[in-house]
Formats: sequence, structure tokens, C-alpha cells
Amino acid sequence: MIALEERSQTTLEGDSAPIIEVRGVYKQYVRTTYRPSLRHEALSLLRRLIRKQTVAQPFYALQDVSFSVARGESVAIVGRNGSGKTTLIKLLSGIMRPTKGSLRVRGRYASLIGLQAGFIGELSGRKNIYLNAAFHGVMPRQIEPYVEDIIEFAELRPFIDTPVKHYSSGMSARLGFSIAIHVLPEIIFLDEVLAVGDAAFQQKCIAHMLKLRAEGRTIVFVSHDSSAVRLLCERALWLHKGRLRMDGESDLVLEEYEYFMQHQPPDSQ
Amino acid sequence: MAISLAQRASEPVTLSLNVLRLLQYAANVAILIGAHLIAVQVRLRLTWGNPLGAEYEAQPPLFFLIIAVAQALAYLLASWAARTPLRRWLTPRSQFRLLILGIGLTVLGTLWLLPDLSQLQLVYFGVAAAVVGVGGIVFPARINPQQDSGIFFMHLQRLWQNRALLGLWLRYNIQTRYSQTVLGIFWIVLLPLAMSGVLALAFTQFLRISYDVPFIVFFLAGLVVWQLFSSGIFGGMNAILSKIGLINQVNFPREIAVLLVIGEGLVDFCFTFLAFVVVNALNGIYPSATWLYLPPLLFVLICFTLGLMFFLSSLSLMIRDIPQLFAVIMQLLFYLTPILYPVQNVPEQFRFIFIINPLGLIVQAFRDVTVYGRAPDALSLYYPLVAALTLLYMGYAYFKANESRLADFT
Repeated sequence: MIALEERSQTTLEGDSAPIIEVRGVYKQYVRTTYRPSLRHEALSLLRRLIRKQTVAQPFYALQDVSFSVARGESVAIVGRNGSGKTTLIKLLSGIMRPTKGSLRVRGRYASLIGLQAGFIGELSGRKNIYLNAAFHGVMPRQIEPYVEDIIEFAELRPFIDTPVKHYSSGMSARLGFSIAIHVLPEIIFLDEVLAVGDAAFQQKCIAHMLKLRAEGRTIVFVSHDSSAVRLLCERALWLHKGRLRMDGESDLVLEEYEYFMQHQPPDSQ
Repeated sequence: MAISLAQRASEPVTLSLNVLRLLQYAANVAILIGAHLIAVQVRLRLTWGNPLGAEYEAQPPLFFLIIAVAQALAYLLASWAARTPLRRWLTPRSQFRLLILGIGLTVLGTLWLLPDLSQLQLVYFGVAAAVVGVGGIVFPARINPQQDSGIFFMHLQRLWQNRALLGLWLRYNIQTRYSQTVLGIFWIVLLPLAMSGVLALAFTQFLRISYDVPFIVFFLAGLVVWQLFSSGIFGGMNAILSKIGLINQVNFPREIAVLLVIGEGLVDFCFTFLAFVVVNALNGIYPSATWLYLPPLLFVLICFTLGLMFFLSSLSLMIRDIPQLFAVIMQLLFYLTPILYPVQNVPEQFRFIFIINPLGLIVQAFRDVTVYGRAPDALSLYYPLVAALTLLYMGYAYFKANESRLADFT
């Protein structure tokens, strides 16, 4: 068995092809007012047969988004609420598939979406570490030597054997982040998880992510915290109403974005 | 240790076209042979037309040879047609027409080479082959046109790479389930025992129906099987619904959520089965050599349950009425399966229900093995086996075709 660290070292020195490739991706959600039930299913089927049209109004969360990320690059995704950032991260980590377009991620990734971060409430923190590592494709034997480090980093030593359902949102986010960085993925997808941690923990996370970046890992990072983005990412993507509005150096994109946010009141659509 | 492969679902596997066709060919032959077994089974048991009955003789091996040769011929014809203007109607890719051509050639070949074979038997074979073939090959290809056999094997490969996740998750679930209650396992064993005790009182003392073995033994043998099945079905409908938060946040092969349910059901089954063995021993029935039939029987039952579960787990997410509907259907199915009564007591004209219902055959075989200590009717095992495997293949294909939409239905 090859140790996790060696394995991940060999994969990091890979070819120079882009590690993430997104081409013309559309994601459509069906906007439904009611929960789908047998009655609605039957009715909509009838209507479709008669008028040949769909009942629900289509809503595109992402429209024609294309970009590629090179190995070792760290990219921030910024944008207003509902601009499709989380949808993009979900597509990248394979939780959903695009309606149209192609999407390719080469390499092992860990994704951290939502505050619960894929924990099972009834299980203790320690069991969730093993389970979460397995979700990220790491066998229990391989994560074994890192478990103490994970607990140490998350500062959860007194609570590690209590069920996760009793954790606060900050605690579970800390544990989720700690696991995601310790499974040594080639790519990390982060979705606003840092927002719930306190300032000291955020500092620690950013420091650690800078270290990961220096090791040549790829980071894709959704954040509203522009100072963290400036510190961590050389490149930023600005999503606006599901379209890629700007793609470039993070300073430039953030400047434009902040200018736009100040001159466009948030309630005008 | 290949960990880097574990999450690469987006990379398409490119099998060469020849390998794909070979797989398709092998699947076709396997399905026709399975259909043949069903046809024989149905023909023996049902009294439509002239029954074969006791004087039935096993098919000569020549019949199987005819199936294989006819299939090969169908493929040759199809690949020849693909190069002529006929390709509008027939190519090696048009699966349904190829299947029908193969069945037709088999029937013709049999009529020519084996003229003494019953022609009604051949009709049964053709119908069974068409039904199983549509279920096993054409349906999975239709629900997802991109889904070739190659993709199917890729799904299995990905599941195999995530086996550690399945094992770990199952272990944790079982640990928490049995540690939360004080008496733990006792509750799982109590329900079937209490139920059969009360029913024994009702059936043997109040209603005065006589059974050839003690009622409690007779009933428990059916109930143990039924519990595994029904816990799978009810758990399966909840498998995705209850983990929807997780499905929205992490990427893992979703069928693991379904497999967890059947895994837990199996652990429960072990305990209820132990209780069943004890009750048997108290009534003077001890394990015998025929119990060796139990693993294959269990395999058939699990395949059958899993196939249904794959359908129900994704359907119940899209249509929320399914769980309520199935509460009713399961109630009906309970009485249409010979759990409470022996099939011998049922009038002749209703017997076909127990032959069409694979679960009924499984229950009967299970009871034959454990209670009566006789080998099950081998022929009546073929039909549940083929039905279960077809259902499993169809269900898995359907589940995987809808897998990417699961996160949208929240």
C-alpha cells in the first residue's frame, strides 16, 4: 500500500493539461410551485400530450459558462446571492450533472458544500471522520494516521465522541474543513464554509490553504470575503445571473465587482 | 491502493465496438436460455393448452446449440444489413429487432431440427424470450440511450472502488441501531414471534384449520422471508428520501444508500432466522442437508428485492405518492403469497397466482427446505432466478439513469 502522502505527491507532478475544463455548461432547474405528486404528474403528462408544452417554467441557474483551470491554480468564484455559485460547485463535484455542455475534472477532489458538510448526525465526530474520508475516496486504513491531526486542527478534542447532531454550525464546518484538507486531494472545492468560523479559525484556514497552494494543489473557492480572496487566489470568476461576467486576475475582478455592488442596489434585479 | 480513481465518474470508458457487441451477444444468449427455462416452468405448471405434466423430458442439448447458432446468425445478418440499404431496418445496434430476429431464427431452427418438440412449448418460449429480452436489453438501453454495457460495467467498477465506504457505513449504522435501545436485537426477534404466536392461536384454536406441521413453524418460515422482503421495500422507498441532505452535499455512488438498507435487512434476517431455527428445534425439526439450498434461495430473494428497491427508491423521490400506494400493494401481496396457508388448499383455478408471483415460489421453496426437509422443485427456482436477475438489471439501469437527477428533486 502506498501511503497517502506519496500517492498524492506523484499525482501532483502530472501533465500540464487543464485540471478542470468547463465548456458551455447550462443548468436548468424546473421551477415548481407544488411538490410533485401523482396527480400533478398525470395532469402535466396530459397537458404535454395535448398542447405539447411543458407546464413548469424553466429556470437557468447557469447559462453558457466556460472556463478552464490549470493545475495548481487557485480560483475564487464571486457573485451575488443566487448567481449560480453553489450550482457551479455542485456540478464540479459531480453531485448534479449539467443540462447541456461538458464538464471534466481530472484528479481526486474533496468538496465542502453546506454547513453540515455531509455528516451523519447520529454518529460521533470520530466515526464521521472515517466516513467523510471514505466519501472523498480515501480508505479507513489510509486516513488512520491523520485522524489525530484532523481532530487537533478542528480544535474538537473534547467533543470528538459526541454525535455530530449536537455540534454547532461552526464546529461541524471546522471538522468538515479539517477533513477536506487532510485527505490530501488534488483539488479542493469550498463553498462559503469559512464564513461560519471565528476570525482566529479563518486565519488558520487561510494560512493552511496557502500552504496547500504552495504544494501545487488546486483550490476553487466561493466567498464573499474579498480580503480572503485577494490573499488566496490569483484569479477570480464573477458570476452574474448565471452567466460568467468576468474572468481574470482577482484584483481586477474584485474591483469591478465591488464597484458594481456599490452602484447597483442589491434589491434591483 | 487505487484511490485516485474513486471519484472519476466523469471520465468515459471507451470499450471497443467489438467488445461491446460481444457483450451484447453474450447477454442475448443468456437471456434466451433464461427465457427457455421460464417457458418450461410455466408450461409445466399452467394448464393452458396440453399440459406436459409428469411425462415431460428435459430439452436436448441441441436446443441450446440452436439458440446460440441462431443468435450468431442474427448478428451476422445484422452486420451484413448494416452495409446495405437495409440498414434503415437492421443494424447490430438496433437491439429490439435483433432480439426478435434471434428468437424467430431459434424457433425456425427448432422446428426444422427438433420436430418432436411441442409447438405450444415453442410459443411459450418465444413469448417469454420477448418479455425477458425487452426487460433485460431493450428497456435499459431505451431509458438512457448513452448507456451501453460499457457504462454499466463502469458503474459496477465505481461501486467496487467504494466498497470500503459501504462496509464502514453499514457497520456504523448497525452499531448505532443496536446500541440505542436497551434490549436491542430482542425487539427484532420479538415481532415475528409474537405475530406468529397470536396467529397460531387464531388459526388453529379459533378457526380450526389443520396444518400438516405445527402452525407456528409453518407461518414463521414464510414470515422470515417476507420480513426481509418488506423491510427492503419500505426501507428502499425511504433510502434516498431520508438521505437527501447528504446527496445534496457529497458525491458518492447513490446505490450505496439502497444497498445499506438491504444490508441492515440481512443482519435482522440473521437474528430472526436464528429464532426460527430455535422454534423449529422445539417442534422437533432440525437442520438437515437440504439447508444447503438456503444460500442460493437467499441470493434470488435479495436480487428480487434489490431490483424492486432500485425502482422504488428513485421513483418515490419523484412521485411522493408511491410510499402510500405501496403500503396498500404490500398488504395485498402479503395475502397473495402463501405465507398463511399452504398452496395445496387453494382451488386449482387460482393456483396460477402463485406461479406468476416469484415471491410465492421463493417462500414455498424456503418452506420446503427448512420445514419439510425436501429439495425444492429445481424447475420452479429457475423462474424466480431469471425474474430476479432481469428485475435487478432493469432496476439498476433505471436507477443509474436517474441518478444525476436525484439532487434536483429536493
